[in-house]
Amino acid sequence: MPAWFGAAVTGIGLVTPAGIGVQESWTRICRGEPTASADPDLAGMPVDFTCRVPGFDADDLLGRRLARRLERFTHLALVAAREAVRDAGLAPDTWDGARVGVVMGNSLGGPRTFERQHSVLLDHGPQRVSPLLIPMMGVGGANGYVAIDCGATGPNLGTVTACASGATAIGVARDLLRSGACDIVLAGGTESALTPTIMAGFSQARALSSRTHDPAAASRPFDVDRDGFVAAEGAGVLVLERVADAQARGVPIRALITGYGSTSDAFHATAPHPDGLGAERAIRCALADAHLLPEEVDHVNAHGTSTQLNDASEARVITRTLGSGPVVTSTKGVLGHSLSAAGAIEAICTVLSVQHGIVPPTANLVRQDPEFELDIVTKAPYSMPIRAALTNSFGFGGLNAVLAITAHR
Amino acid sequence: METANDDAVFGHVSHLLVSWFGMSEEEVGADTTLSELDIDSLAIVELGMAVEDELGVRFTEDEISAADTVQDLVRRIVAKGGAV
Repeated sequence: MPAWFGAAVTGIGLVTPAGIGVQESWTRICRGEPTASADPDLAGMPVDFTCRVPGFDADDLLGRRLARRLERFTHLALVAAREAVRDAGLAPDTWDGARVGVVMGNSLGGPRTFERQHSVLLDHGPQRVSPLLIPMMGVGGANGYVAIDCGATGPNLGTVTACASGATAIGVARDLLRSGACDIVLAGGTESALTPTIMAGFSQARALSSRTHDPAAASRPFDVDRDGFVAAEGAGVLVLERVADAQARGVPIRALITGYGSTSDAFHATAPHPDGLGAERAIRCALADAHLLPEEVDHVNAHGTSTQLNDASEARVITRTLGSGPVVTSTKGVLGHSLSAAGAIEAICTVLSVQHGIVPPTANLVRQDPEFELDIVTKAPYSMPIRAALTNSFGFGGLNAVLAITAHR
Repeated sequence: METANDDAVFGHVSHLLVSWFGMSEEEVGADTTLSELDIDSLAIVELGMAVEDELGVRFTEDEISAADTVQDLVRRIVAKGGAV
């Protein structure tokens, strides 16, 4: 077993359907107030609602000169990254950029740009296609532009593990600190791919809730009446450092990333393994990496997508690996499922839960599925001391990433 | 030698740089170089397409350089018969 290693979380940044910035997002998440609503871009589609970041004006936040060259998933990432760097008390104009790495999860890139330019190609020919198409739509856009924005010239990579991508990024980032390759890593995830084509694809895969008559109630993780996930956009970025470096800088440490478990079901394109074997191994790997016993885990921020399959499989796996002790929540009741951003956003929520001893409620959980033996927070935030927590992320393709987050005392 | 058409083309190019490329009006002077406006190799291709759409003249990439000033660009557009 490798030696224990805790990466200090010294900065966090969020752009979510609950708000722009950590404070605005966390406040609404703790209120358990759903964000799903009708999406004008999807009018006439079978599923016409999503969770969008409200009032996000990239021209205003980033300046039009920069914003016009980037896709929305990169806009969200830049705003979250800038907040995280500020929160960590770091100044990119003075740091040694070669020692700063960036790892960002993203899977779908910028389909809006692709769709528009595909129309240009068909209507006007190849010589009218924008030269910005490739840098705008590419999955690696977010990590590349975050580095440009803050002068991070160290290791730079994107992680692509579907809906686990954001969590995978944080696990990989921790290893970059452990190996000594970096002194600071900006890690997180971003996604904004809510175009009609992408939404039709999710809809045809029967992954989405079809509760069009009541979008706000559609994302209902672990509820007996759940019928699919609600697609969302968002970004979350963390600043990670070695504990000794954070202490030398004299900045507060919010919590420690102490474990990472990464596995693959190697089973099916979209369905989780029916016995949750991959998810179970990811949890056990994260516990072993963090040198934690199951009974030391006080809280689980579940993947909890509100699909029949995920929630059933995940509930059984949590009970099997951790017993009925940990207090569970899924923030997707409020935020929907932001795909590659979700793992990072939920890791930040877990950091805040551990730091402040508050577990936010699972919105819309009215009647817990009687099959599940879980202690899930509903209606109001629950205050409790948390020694250690897990955050689960399980992606299409059976790609699993679990992070252990431990209190720094 | 400045004509009314030069001024009109200059105004049009300035408007393009402001509305499409996100420059502020104060930044766009006759002697400002394209590189000072962050017009890089990718944006030169975009600029070429926009000029063709709006002013009816076509440039190849090697006819516009980031070292050109806005006034250089205007002169070339006018020389190619571009008019507003």
